Amino acid sequence: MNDTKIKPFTTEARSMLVISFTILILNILFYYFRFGGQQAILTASTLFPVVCSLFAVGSLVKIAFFLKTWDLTKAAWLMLAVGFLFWFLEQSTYAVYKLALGIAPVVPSVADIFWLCGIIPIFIALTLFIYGYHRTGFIIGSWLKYFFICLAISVLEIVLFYKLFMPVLYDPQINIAGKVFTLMYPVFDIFILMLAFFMVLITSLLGKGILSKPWKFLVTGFVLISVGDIIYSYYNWTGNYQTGSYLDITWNFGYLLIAVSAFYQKELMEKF
Amino acid sequence: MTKNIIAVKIESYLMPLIGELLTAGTLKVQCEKIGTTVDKLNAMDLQNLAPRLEQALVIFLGGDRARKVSRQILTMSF
Repeated sequence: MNDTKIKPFTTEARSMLVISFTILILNILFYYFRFGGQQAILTASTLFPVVCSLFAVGSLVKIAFFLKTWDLTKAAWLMLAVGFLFWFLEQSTYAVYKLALGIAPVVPSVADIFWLCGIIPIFIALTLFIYGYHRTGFIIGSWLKYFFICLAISVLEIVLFYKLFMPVLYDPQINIAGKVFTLMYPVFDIFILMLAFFMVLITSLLGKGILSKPWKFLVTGFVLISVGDIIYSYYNWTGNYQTGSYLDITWNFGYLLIAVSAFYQKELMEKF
Repeated sequence: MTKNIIAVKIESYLMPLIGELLTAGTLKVQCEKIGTTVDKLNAMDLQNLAPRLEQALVIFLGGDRARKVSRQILTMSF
């Protein structure tokens, strides 16, 4: 960059954003009108997450390799790429179970193990982003806001403990491995949600600064995925979850927003 | 708002990147850390200030791009 003017974002990231909204609208329309009956809904609800997570992993791998120097930033984006690769494998495994084998996987399945393998690098990535920001020496805003996030997460934890954890733990029909894997989803998701909210606070400090743009999409994606996962855990346990539920849209759109964030990050760096 | 010409240049460069709030806060804090103030910032101080701003931008831009921003800031004394 030879002058001090910052170029505006161009077409690539915006195109990904348009694609994301198009997929979102298609997803909503498909679920609303239920084209092709139950089998078509089963196929769509299984394949939408595969496609959306593929978008996420593809764009994250692209940005991870685009960053040449080994530093905190590359490590964080690479961890995200690894995490979403496992989540793509998770969604693909579900697709094989449901569409090729015609069975509903029993917890813990291979898909659950992929999910667990994915959440760990994602947790590390978000922690690196927050740690990296903390190292910048930039202001972090009011501690009270962070305290309220922790408080809200604790309240959510207590509610989930009584509504979900206790019944699952005392259910004689679920074995130990089943209990562990059923509960790991909401437990890990709560932590991801907390980190995502911390990043929301940080991002809000950046205001309209263009450095905030990738993070805005990233945290919105994570909030959607985590909230969707937590609600799904409860609905699934109470037997209220149905294939083709609007809840699926939270994951699908969350994955797409993660992809958009990676596109914006790449474009942001190309400006310099 | 400072009237120091170098500080104004840096502010107008950083503001579109990190927003108004962080620009003002960061410049003030980093100037204090190198033993000066925003109003007294001079060309010599940029040698100490630019690496600090580079370090602050690494998490958003990666090391290479943050270094480019740092070099850009170094030229602001001219």
